[in-house]
Amino acid sequence: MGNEVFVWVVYLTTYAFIVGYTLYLLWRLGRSS
Amino acid sequence: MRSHRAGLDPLSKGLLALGYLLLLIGFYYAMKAPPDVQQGYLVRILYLHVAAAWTGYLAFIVAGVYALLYLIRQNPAYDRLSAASAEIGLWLSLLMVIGGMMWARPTWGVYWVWEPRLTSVAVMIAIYVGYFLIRQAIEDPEMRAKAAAAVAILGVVNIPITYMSVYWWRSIHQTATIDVVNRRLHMPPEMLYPLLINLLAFSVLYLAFLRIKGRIAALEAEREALDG
Repeated sequence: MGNEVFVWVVYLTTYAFIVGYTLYLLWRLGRSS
Repeated sequence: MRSHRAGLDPLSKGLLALGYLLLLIGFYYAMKAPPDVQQGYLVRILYLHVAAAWTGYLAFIVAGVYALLYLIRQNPAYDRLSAASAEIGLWLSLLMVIGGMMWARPTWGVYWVWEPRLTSVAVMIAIYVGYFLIRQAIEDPEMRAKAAAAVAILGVVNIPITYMSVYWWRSIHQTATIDVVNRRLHMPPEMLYPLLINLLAFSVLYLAFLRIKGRIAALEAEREALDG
């Protein structure tokens, strides 16, 4: 099919964002506390 | 003195843990769901694309409600929460656009087309980019909060237009899968559950992010006030 690559781009981007944003917020919180 | 505010509060911790757990369950069911008759496994994009879109709308509506509360009560905490929610909403909208583009390329043949839904989404994103430019540009905290609140409320007005665009101007983008306008479901239960679980996961994570971002903003404002 070849379409699977589009699915994986979406899943990887979304999960990478969620994990990255969580870590960023925790880092900012740690710095501000 | 500092210990009570250091680190994550228990509710935010719980929301984060629950959000990640739901995300894992959502992934499992998304991968287990049957392929679409026409699109095959490409339909898996829907489970994240729609979840990001809905939670993005929710974040912008919450930003608008806090903006209105700020204008009524003049409490800076509402302004901070409004900005926090708008920022998360903007990120979710960008994720939704990435998901949409990756879905559009194999189905429509292009990543982007200026049809009504995509155009109204572009307007929505432009409004919230403008929101943050205004926040950067105005130094006086009270003026900044008032101007930002006006944009946040304007942004909420645009959301029904974005949502309804697929009904008002029929074009290439499909109408809603969970059709709240005509009260119809356009998918079988084995595809609906992964969508609902992902929607719940995104909503819980949104709440966790909002709490943490609101807290960071409050701590920073406190520090700024102390530094004078």
